[in-house]
Parts: sequence; structure tokens; C-alpha cells
Amino acid sequence: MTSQELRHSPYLVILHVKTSADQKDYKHYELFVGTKDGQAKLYDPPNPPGLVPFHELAQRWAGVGLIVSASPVDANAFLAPGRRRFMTYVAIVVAVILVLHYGRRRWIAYWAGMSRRRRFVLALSQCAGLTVLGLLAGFIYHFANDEGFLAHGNATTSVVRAHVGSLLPHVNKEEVAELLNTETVFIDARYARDFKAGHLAGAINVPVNASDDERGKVLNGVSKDSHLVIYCQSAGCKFAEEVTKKLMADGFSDISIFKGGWGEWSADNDT
Amino acid sequence: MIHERSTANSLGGMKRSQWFRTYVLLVRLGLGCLFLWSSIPKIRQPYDFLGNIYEYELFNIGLGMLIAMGLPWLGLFVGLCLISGLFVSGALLASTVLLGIFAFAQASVLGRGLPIGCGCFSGCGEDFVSYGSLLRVVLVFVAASLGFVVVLLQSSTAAESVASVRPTGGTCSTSSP
Repeated sequence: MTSQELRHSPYLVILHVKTSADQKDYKHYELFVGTKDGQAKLYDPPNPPGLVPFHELAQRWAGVGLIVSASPVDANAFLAPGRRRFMTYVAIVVAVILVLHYGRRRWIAYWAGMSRRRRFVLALSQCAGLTVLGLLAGFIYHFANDEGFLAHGNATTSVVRAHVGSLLPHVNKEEVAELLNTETVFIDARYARDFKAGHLAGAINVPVNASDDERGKVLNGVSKDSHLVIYCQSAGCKFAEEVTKKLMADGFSDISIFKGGWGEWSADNDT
Repeated sequence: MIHERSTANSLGGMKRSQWFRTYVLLVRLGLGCLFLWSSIPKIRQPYDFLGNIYEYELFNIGLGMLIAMGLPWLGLFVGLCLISGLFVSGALLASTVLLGIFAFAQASVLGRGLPIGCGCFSGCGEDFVSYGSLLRVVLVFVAASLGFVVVLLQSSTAAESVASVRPTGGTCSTSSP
């Protein structure tokens, strides 16, 4: 089910969602009560029901819903409009292909008489043509569709925030060694007790569980333009990413992540 | 005698050509269904697919978005072309390139030890990148690239068979591939 289809639902639907759009995993459920003023009315106890634009819901909903109804469910009644819209796009594509298909016999005769080199060039041009068509169709779809990436300025911001750890530049152990005696500020995202047990020389501890006030106090003297290198215990630890999201919200932008973290550093260095 | 041998060779060539055609048909239909099956959920749930792309850590924000917008539609076009038999050589070449890049991306993820979903088919986040998923992609890649090579060679093989049979007065006839 898509949010296009959901907006036509006359039933209550329990939605499988992320707690917030900048999370990666779907670990939460909310109740879709209906559509009001073109927005989804969601109920997430104990909070009162609230209105959420459908394009925002699309970013944090897995597309899975459990319909709640006392009477037998007529799914077609509300799935049809969304599917019709989607099938319109597909039908346009099929129509174009069918029109081109009419010339198939002439095309085959032409193909059979061509040299292999010319056939290869032709295949390349067809491949390029398909790629351009694919990009064009994607642009049109995401521009024309209310839940598309291009329909709203901040449509993909939450996905970017959710994957900030994958998108930020990474530094390795050798680069960390070079940066240690520079202006770069090292942030240790582990819990305080782990920080006390050992950390990079000069690092500041901003634990993942620190409150906004605690974080503000610790980073009071650090300029927003500083280059920050954030690390955790190891590549499997996600604290560095969580702290990065908070620091980006605080206004820091020049951030790198040392994925190997304290585990990789301490394996070869006595700090 | 020479006449009979020439006819036998020609018939052998035609039989081979028929095998090739059957192979291409199977690859076309198999790949076509595969591309349709994988592209439609990605069009319907683009945000999940965008997240999958970012997790590969190979593209920046803009390029990732461009891929998330265009790739599912390219997959749809390629799938429809393969099934309908239109632009087969171009569609097979596109399949080969896409699968090659995908295999490279998966190998890169395995090399870096990233525990991420492969994003092969949306809605199956549990399908992590593994040697099994890489092997699967490589096998499909080999099938697609062989199909492309056969399509490039196929028509001339059939044409040569026809040309060598006709003067001998053989009764075999070939239809266009």
C-alpha cells in the first residue's frame, strides 16, 4: 500500500512506521484515523490525534498497514484510485513500447543486414536512449507525484539524516594520527565510563545519552566551523552517527567519522 | 558428396542457431520478469530505496537521489523491452551494465564489511548483502552478458545458414529472429 492509496481509505489502519523520519528502522505503530484537509490524521497514544502531510508520512511508513474494521473489508474501494494512478504511468510506458513495436519487422530486417560493429553501436545507442528515458520518467514521476522527491523541497532531508553516517566523509587510522596534533576536535561518542577507561588524546566526551544542556556545556568553546572527527568503540557501534545527527542540528557541518573507533586505534597505539 | 556435407553443416548451423534463439528467449523473459519484479516496488516506495542506496556508501546525496529516481524506471523500461522483444540488444546491454555495477557494488560492500540490506527487491530488508546474494547477481550477470553476445552474433549465423542452404535447394526455411 502507498500513501496515495491510504488517503482514500475509509477504514482505520494500523501503520508500521519509524518513530521519526530520521530513524532507519520501522519499530513503531500508529493508527491512521482518516484524511482531513488533505492530510493524514494519525493517533499515537498517549498523544492526541494529529495531522501529518502524506508526503511526510511516506518517508517514515513501511507501506504496511493492518485494516481495522467490524465489517468485511472492501480493499478495492480505496486501493483502486492509487493503483489507477500508478497504472496510468505504466500504461503510458506500455503504449509507447507498443507503438514502437509496430516497426518491429522492418527493424529485424534492418538488424539482420548490419555488420556486428554497427549492431554494437546501435545497441549502445539503444542502451543510452533507455537510460535517458528512465531518468526522464523518474523526474516527471517525482515532480508530479505529491510524495515524490521533487514535489517538496525537504522531501529527502529525513532520509539523508537517517543515513548521515553513510554519507559523511570517513577518516582512517592513519588520517586520525595526522589530525591529532591539528585544530581538529575529536569527539568521543561513547558512555562516560568507557571514555574514562581510555580515549584519543585531547578528545572531548559527548556521550550518546547526553542531554542538550550537557552537550551545550561540553562544546561551549568549540567553534561551529571546527572540523570534528567523531568516533565510537568500533565500526558496529552507531553512537557516532547518533551524536553526529545532534551536532549537525546544533550547527556543526564539517564533520568526519572515524569508523574503526577506539577499538581500532587502541589495538596498535598506547594513548 | 561435398554438396551433402555442405547441407549437413548448414543444418547443424541452423540447429545451433535455434538453440541460441531459445536461450535468448529464456534470458529475455527471465530477466524481463526480474527487472519488472524488482522495479515496481521501488517506484512505489522510493524513500526505502533511497535509503538502500545511501547505505552502500558509494554515492553522495545528489547522485544517490538521481539513481533512486531514475533506476527503477530504467528497470521498468528494460523489463518491458525484454518481454516485448523491442530494442532487445540495447535492453540486454543495459541489463548487463546494471547487473555488472550491482555485482561490483555488492563485492565492495562485502570487502568493507558493511552489514546492510541488498535492496534487491524492496520490502525484503532482511535480505542482507552476502556471498550468496553476490553469487546470485554474478550468475544473472553472466546469463545477461551471454544473451547480449548471442544476440549480436545470432542474426548473422541465421542469415549465413539460409544463404548456404538456399543454393542447394534445401527445404529449410528460417523466420526472422
